[in-house]
Amino acid sequence: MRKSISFFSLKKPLVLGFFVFLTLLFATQYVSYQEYVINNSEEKQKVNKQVGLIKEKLQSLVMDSYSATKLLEYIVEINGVPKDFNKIAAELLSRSKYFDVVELVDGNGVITHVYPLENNEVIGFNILTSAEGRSGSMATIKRKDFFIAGPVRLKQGGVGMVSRQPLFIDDEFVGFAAVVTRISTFFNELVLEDPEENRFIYQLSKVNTETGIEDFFLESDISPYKDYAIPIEMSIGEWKLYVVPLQKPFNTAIWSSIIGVLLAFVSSWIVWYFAGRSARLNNLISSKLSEQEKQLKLVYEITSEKVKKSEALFRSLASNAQVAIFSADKEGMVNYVNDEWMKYSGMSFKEAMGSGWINALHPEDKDRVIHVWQQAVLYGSDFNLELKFLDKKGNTTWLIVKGTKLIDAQNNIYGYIGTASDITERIHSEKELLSYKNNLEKLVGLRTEELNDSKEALLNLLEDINLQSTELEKEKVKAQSADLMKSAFLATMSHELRTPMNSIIGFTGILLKELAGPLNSEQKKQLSMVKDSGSHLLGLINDVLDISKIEAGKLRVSFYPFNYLETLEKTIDFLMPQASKKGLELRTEISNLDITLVSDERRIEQILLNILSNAIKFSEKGDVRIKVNVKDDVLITQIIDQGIGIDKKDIDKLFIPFIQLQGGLNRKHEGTGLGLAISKNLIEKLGGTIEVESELEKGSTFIIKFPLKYS
Amino acid sequence: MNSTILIIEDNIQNMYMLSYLLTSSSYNVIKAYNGIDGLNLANKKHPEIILVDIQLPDMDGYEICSRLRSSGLPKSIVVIVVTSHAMGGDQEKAIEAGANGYIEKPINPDTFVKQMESIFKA
Repeated sequence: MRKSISFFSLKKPLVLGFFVFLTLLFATQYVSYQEYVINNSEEKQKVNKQVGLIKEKLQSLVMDSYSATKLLEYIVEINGVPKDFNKIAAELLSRSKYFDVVELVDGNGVITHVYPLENNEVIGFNILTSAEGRSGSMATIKRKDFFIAGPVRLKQGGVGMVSRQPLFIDDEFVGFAAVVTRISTFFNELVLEDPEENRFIYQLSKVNTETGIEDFFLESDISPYKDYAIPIEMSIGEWKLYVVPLQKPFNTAIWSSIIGVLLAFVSSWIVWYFAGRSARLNNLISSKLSEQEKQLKLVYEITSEKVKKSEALFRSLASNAQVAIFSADKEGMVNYVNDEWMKYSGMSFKEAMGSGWINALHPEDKDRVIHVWQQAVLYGSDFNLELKFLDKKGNTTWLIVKGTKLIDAQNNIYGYIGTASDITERIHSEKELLSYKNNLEKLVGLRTEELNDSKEALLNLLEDINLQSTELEKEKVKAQSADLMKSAFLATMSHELRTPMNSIIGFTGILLKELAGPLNSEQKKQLSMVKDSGSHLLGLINDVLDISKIEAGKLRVSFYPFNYLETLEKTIDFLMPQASKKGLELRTEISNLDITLVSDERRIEQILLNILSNAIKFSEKGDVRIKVNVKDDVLITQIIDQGIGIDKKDIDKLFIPFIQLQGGLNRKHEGTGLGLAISKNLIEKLGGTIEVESELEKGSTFIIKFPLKYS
Repeated sequence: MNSTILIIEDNIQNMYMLSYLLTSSSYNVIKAYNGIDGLNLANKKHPEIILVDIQLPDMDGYEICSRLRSSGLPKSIVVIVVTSHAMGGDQEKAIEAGANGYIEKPINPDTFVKQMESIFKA
């Protein structure tokens, strides 16, 4: 929880900026500090190096002093004070560039010999009596050993180090051999050796081991640099060397630190700026939005003001109008009626609201009005109707009502507004007219009655005739039912007849195939006759079955699309042997390459077979032509022969069942006489027509027409 | 050429005629005289071709066709309906019920086997 809060607050730009500032500041300052430490230690190394150098030089100076004074001691002990002191001193001075003066002191402490003499007027000076030299000198005598006294204010000026070697002959002190080194000479040399930028301040001191007081050799003021003291252990007591850098070098780590601070500041500012930008943009947008909202509100206020005004205008117009006005939602719930409406209905405003208005309707009109209203809403139409209001006092008001639909921007009906005008007076005058009319009619009626009396006599006569015709009608019904029974009987019988026929035809066929053994020619001839007769009988049975089904209304047809020309070709192929047997030619004239007919293919085949076989049957010469064409979605098939033809008076009988024209033809032309009747019935059942044009002895033309798609 | 053919036909003479023609053409013939026996034999013997008469004592030919097609028998079995002329729409109904083809009664002994084989090969 806590974590999430702190993370969340990081999202605030100011907090994030501050966080970045602190982090960067810490990081850069740490790096700067490390740099500072490194720079400092480099400085220290430099000082240490210088100190080491000085130490070395001092030690070599001490060594040089020791060897020089020792040599002088040796000379004095062997030969006494030499006559050529100056020569020997000059030789000693040349051994070290730091030697300034060579001295000899006698047993009383008086300086007897000095080299060089110039600027060194110290001959005769007693070092044992002088305050400065005394203690050191006495200690040297006591120890009988080399001693470096200093710092010593030299008689000849300046501060120096005096290296003394006590001289003893037969254990008796006889004087000192001494070498003086001006400190200034030593350090001046150092300063000259240093490169310009690397100058140091030097100071050398000797610490009194008893008192702790420090005697300084040089005049440099090093009081602020007490910490720079480096102790130098000498055989002749404790010394301190100060090496202070003349110029404290600028530590570049400060730059790093400053740059670090700047960097932290700039980075955190950038972070704050960019993190805060989206928040500022949001603020900008929300301020713009609220501005727009204000404007919209203003527009809305102005608009609603206008709406209120126009509504008020409507109310005042409506309430003062001389017609009834109402408005309702699309469910028929009334939400406004004007004064005139209330006057007609005798209802209060409150009573009329919602579905209350229905109670104002005359009970006779209620259902009709509600129905008209519902139809109008359903089809989205306006409506006009006449209706009656029946108020509580029993007064009826006739009204003509006109309702207009109200449509919203999406074109949906959301209600109706309507007017109703009082037409009671008009209705009353209409009623008056009606009563006038009734009177007139009564008068006419009286006159007519007189005429009717004579008419009655005639009617009685007619009734007698009617009675007779009813008897006839009954007879007809009887006959028809007998007809129906006959059809049903035929249908059953034909089916029962057909099954054995199948056996007869099938087995004669098998026998003729000689599968069971060879037949002689007479057997073959007779079996063929059985087979032909069987086939003929089966044809008759099938035709009877068809016609009985047709008459019983039980014939079913089914519609499928099929290729008509293929069916026609099949039929022609089937009849070709029959035609060529009689020397007839079958010719086709077909205008379309492809005809798809939606019909009952098997029935169509039956029809074509019938008509075509008739044409072949009744022709003795010439040809039979089959013309096919399609016109306005109607398939027209014409079968034209040059046969015996039909007499005009017989054409009507052609399609009547069981009638074959000219009884004499029976022998010549086999057939049931049912073929054309069946065909005509089938054609009509399939939505087609059949016509015949014929001339006796010239030939006949059968024209069959089918719609390409019959439904 | 030794395909097995199941004939479902109640008329003894018709059954004899069909089986005679088919055995003459070297087919193996099994016979059922009603629909139930026919369906049982079809399931047991898996004939290549089934010839069905449209009018049987216990059920009609369409019912046999649709039962054969929903019984899980191989779809490669060819079902042929033997039907009489004049019963309009019978053939279409038989095809809809799942038959592969039909042969009209009265059968023509000269062409019957050829008719059957052409439906079988289609």
